[in-house]
Amino acid sequence: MNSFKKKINSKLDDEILYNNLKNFATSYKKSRSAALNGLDFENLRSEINNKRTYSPDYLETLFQRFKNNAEKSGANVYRAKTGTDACRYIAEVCKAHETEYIVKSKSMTSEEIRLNDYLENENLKPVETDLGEWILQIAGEHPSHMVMPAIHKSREQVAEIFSRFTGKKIDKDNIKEMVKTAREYLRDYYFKAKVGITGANVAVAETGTVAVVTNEGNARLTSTVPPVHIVLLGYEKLVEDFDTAFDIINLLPKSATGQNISTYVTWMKGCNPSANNPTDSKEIHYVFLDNGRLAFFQHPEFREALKCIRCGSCANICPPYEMVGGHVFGHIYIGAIGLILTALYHGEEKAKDILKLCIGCKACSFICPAGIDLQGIISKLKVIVGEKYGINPVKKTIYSTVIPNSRVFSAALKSASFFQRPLIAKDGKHLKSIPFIPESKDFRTLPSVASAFFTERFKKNYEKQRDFKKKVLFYPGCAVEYFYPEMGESLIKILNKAEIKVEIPSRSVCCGLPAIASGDGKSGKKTIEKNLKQMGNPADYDSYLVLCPSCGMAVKEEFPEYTSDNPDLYKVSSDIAQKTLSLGMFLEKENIRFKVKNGAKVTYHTPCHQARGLGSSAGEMLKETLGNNFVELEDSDVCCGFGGTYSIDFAGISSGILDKKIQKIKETGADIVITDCPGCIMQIEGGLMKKGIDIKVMHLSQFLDEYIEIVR
Amino acid sequence: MSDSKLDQFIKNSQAVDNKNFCLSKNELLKNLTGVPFVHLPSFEQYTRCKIDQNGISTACIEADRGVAETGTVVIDSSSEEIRLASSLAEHLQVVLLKSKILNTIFDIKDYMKEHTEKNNAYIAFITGASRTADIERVLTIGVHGPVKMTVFIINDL
Repeated sequence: MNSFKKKINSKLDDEILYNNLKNFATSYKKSRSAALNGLDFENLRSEINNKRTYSPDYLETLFQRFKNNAEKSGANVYRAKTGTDACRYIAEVCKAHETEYIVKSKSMTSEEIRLNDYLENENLKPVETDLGEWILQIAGEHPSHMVMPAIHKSREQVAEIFSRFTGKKIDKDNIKEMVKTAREYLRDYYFKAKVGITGANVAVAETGTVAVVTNEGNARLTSTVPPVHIVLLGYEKLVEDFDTAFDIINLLPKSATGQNISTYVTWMKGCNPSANNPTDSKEIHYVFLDNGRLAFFQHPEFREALKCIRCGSCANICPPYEMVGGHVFGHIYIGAIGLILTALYHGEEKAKDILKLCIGCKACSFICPAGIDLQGIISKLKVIVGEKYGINPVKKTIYSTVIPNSRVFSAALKSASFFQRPLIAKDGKHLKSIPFIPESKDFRTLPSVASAFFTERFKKNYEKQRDFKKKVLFYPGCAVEYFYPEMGESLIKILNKAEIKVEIPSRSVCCGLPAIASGDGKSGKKTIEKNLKQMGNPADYDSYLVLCPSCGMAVKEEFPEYTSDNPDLYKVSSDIAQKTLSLGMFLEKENIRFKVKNGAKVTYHTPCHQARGLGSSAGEMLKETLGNNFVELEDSDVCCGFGGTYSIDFAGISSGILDKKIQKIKETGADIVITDCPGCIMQIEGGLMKKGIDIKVMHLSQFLDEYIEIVR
Repeated sequence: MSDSKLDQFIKNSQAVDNKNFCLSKNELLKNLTGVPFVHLPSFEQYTRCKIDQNGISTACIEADRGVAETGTVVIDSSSEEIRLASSLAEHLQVVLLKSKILNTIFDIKDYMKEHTEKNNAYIAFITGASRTADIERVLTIGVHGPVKMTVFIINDL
């Protein structure tokens, strides 16, 4: 096992981490939505996003404006090209003032450039004053979360760290006493230090003012008591005016901790009075860090990542982060933005493994208060890094030669279908056991390959449908084609009842998403081009339907993107993209109503790519149709842990996420879980069967086919 | 002004565990005895004391603005002793004229612009006593600065 996998496993075994992150994720969601209650989040975040789309020229203008204002009021402004430049400048200022201690309030930028290590090498003593950061500093560790650095620690562990540091016995249950201990020690340092270092949350160009946000008030003391104050900040913190600054200050705490506002928002301009300084006013230094930022401001997509306001919400709702924490899911910056910033600031070599940890659920893109499509950027970085460092050779062969060639793929699965026969369970649809699979990856009962594939069944049984006025093209995708043809048959039956004709592509080809998600963009493109050749003329169809939202998302997003170099194909793919819908969306669009035939208790799991890829969920429709027989599933739209090959590559993370989903499903007391993604079904049904839990999992199409009547 | 802004301010200030009192100017002045640091320009009340790392028991400081939506007070802390007193008092008392309460932080934009156009400025938005949740996310008050905060709202001004 390689060291990356080992590191993941050690985190998966860390019970304290598991409980801390799980409890936090639950309470965070509640307090965040309470803080955002009554606000138009979408509007607020798009405003922040729009206002902070800077061209490199405009950014330079903002910087010059800030610099002029700052220098006019007596402050020093330094432009650091690299992390080392910034460290060197800061160390020189500290040495010039002959200080032994330096107090610091939390600054992720200083973590980025490993400032403490540099200062310690120069025999200076930086002291972190944020409680969480201080705990980690004296423990010799680094933050695992941007807002709650020590979230991976228990009170017992903190008591132990404090006892070791102070030489006094600290009661392991008395958090108040621990906080008091920190207060006493840190108070002393503020007065010993001649230099204080803070970061900045925003830098307002119009008057040359920075704001620092804390709950503890440590930045206030850091910027007040010592006679010298250094502000270390990245160029991305610049905003034009207080308008934008307030937009950020308003949304940051709500997204970070679910607070209405942070306890202290401190605005500083110029050299304020300082009795400890012989000149009677404070010496101020602004250190603007480049470290790659200025180049990325020129990149149309990566510059989006520079809009991050460091709230940490992309970690708070990330299912894989919740399993392994920030010491694995990130490098210095953590969470989804951490994967991106690691690639941007610390290099692809450091990013290549951790980028794979993204399961692609898109929860981050939808929660980001700065409106960054984090998952989209991660997906692009995966392709870039995949091209450079290569992807798993087995996957590469499958994606580049087997999958794009439907005949080869189909033949391979046909022989699998034959050879699996002795392994098939009594139900005829699942495998009793899976040969050669290590125990750690064997957490699900998997479906068997269908004996007759969907396209085959279609040609045999459904080729002759009545010529209804309405006609749709159903794109089956691999899951329906090879594993779940009955889902596709259900779709045809329902739609025929509603007097709609269903056609399919002449040959089934993968949508290309698995290759792209694994970083193999070239194979993805090849596959997409094959598909478009057999998806007919968009003008002939009312809609294009999918039963797999991931395929749907690929058709809507990846098909146009990967054909943008070919005008003819692009035209077809964007027309198809506009017409692509899930079954639920189509039924709603056509206003097709239902009546329940039976009284089973039903709940609904919202697939990631249904809610966040196609932008809709069948939950409301089911609730309306089923009335009292419908039970809400808590965290319905949280990922089930499938993620395609992710569930094999990172089986431990995948099964951990699935366990949480199964727990929530059990809590509903439902007889049937409906969802509309074959991947989710493979995962959830597989997990329930493996655990021997008697809850049925059905695709929306099968449920509608079996339990519902169409109302005319 | 309508009392809804006042009510909203008090509700949000209480939500961060502040004590809030509505009182008249005269009632406030009676409360100032024994407070080592007082800075109330509206009432021309100034008391000073030595402030070092041992902190001080109480500081009573006037706010320039209040924000109903968040229960926040805005204190011009450009003077060093106000910065030290408000950061190092165990009990921070803030005096806020009812007429200075605005709806949202966005209503303070002009105030901010005006103050930061000067050569130097240090403006503090304060919403409660110093707090942390860094150990097991348990909310603990008083990690660096004040362990207690009270807002005196002067209802006749």
